[in-house]
Amino acid sequence: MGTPASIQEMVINALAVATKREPASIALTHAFRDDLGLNSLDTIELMYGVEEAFDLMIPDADLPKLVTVGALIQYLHERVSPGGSPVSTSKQVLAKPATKPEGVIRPTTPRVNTKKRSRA
Amino acid sequence: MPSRQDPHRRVVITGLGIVSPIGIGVPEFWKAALEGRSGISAISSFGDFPLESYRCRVAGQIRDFDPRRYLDESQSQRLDRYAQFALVAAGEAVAQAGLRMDRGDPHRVGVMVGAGMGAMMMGEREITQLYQSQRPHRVHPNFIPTITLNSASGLVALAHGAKGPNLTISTACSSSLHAVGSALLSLQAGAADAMIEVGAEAGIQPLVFAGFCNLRALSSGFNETPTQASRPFDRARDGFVMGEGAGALILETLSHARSRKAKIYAEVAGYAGTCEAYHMVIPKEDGVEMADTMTRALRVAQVAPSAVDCINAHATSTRKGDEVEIRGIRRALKARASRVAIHGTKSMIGHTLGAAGAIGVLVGALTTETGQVHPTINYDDPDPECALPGIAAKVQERRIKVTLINAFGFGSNNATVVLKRFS
Repeated sequence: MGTPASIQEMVINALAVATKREPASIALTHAFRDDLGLNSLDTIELMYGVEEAFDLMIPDADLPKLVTVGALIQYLHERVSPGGSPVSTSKQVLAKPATKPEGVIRPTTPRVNTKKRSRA
Repeated sequence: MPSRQDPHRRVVITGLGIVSPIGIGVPEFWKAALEGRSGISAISSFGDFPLESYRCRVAGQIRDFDPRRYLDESQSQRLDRYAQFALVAAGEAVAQAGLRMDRGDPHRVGVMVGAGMGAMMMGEREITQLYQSQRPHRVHPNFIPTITLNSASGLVALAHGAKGPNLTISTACSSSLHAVGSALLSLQAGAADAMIEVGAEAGIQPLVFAGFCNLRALSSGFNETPTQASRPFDRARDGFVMGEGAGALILETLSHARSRKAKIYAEVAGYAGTCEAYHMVIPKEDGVEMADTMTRALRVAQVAPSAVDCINAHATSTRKGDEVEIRGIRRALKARASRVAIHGTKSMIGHTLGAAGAIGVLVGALTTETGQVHPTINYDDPDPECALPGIAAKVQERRIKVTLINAFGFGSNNATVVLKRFS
């Protein structure tokens, strides 16, 4: 735990569950939206899980640059204190919505080409 | 006969009431709105919770609301804040309309409330206390009657003796626009002669606020400059700002209004409510569905798109929401989109969620009656994606015969109401 490899492993495993893909099929260059089919809400849930697992808060202003797997991992390396490990003892990086089984995000019909927006 | 269904029965607005971050009561609100005053301020505290763990720390709070000025001691102490707002706004609208239950059949006066969250203030308090204290016998006996979502509609009926149909519509941020539409349909169906319509919301509290923060729906870049945070259609907008308050309208059949010699603000000419059946939070990006809702409402009102003069837009100040709405307006109105006046009330009071639709119709009625289009403040640098010539940061004086009001809500739902200048 706490090595750069484990950050990568945690993020990729989380994405594998979220997108129902094999971890090996997820590359650092993959974009959450265009390659992995996550919509804006799926991405927000992913970030929510990341914040919990690494005990940090990701400002809205940082979101626009966190569009690929590699960018998120790089960002976490920079944000997690040197030699520090994720505070969560579990490998769970996923959001835990009240209505879903623990630790599983199922993207609601992953869609390509959707951007951050809200109708609120 | 009053009970016979008549889809062509004309329905008018005869009373208005409002509780908002820029004014309690229509005169104060309208003056502030025309001046372009912002009601957005920094949140000073969330009790024991650290403010810095909220990305957004600004809101449209009603800081000077003292319930004892308007309500009795028991109501001031026991009722949830959203219901207090509803009672105060409804009281103003009923008084202004001169609607008296003792001068007609009270069973012909109904209540239609729109609320997205309901009595969450008491909800949060009681749930927190139960889990912290682990003393179930200390849950307040008034908890259930307060948090049932129709508590405000019941209280409004009790306050005025309105014994007609009494319903609550909850469709998130479009709740009270659907409530206006449903009141219109009730009147046309002959179920009542008059409806007290209210939209009310009070969600600026630790849990609800955190939920919207974490949905990344709220503005977070203007915490140091709160009055600039809500900026619909502006290039620098970065999310909505939560507001609170209530709007109330008296809707009645034209024949009923005439028999009472009531002052008429505007005619409610059409309504459409649709569901995109697309995504719980995200609108369909091409704006086709929003355009469809506007088009359907215009068709019901028998108004051509080329005859629309003004739109009170949903305009929440989210990046995509504003963009998609303008796309929808362009599709629905075609060339006319460049001619209509458009205003975003949320630029001044924030997004009052379930109350927004009723407040939008109240603004629409005043706009249609006076020809004054309030400013959309902070529209300093028009975003090319949603710029239209009719959006302005200053007051516009226009000749207005037809105003559209839009509201869109989580659950993929859209609503549009069409108001006509009464003649």
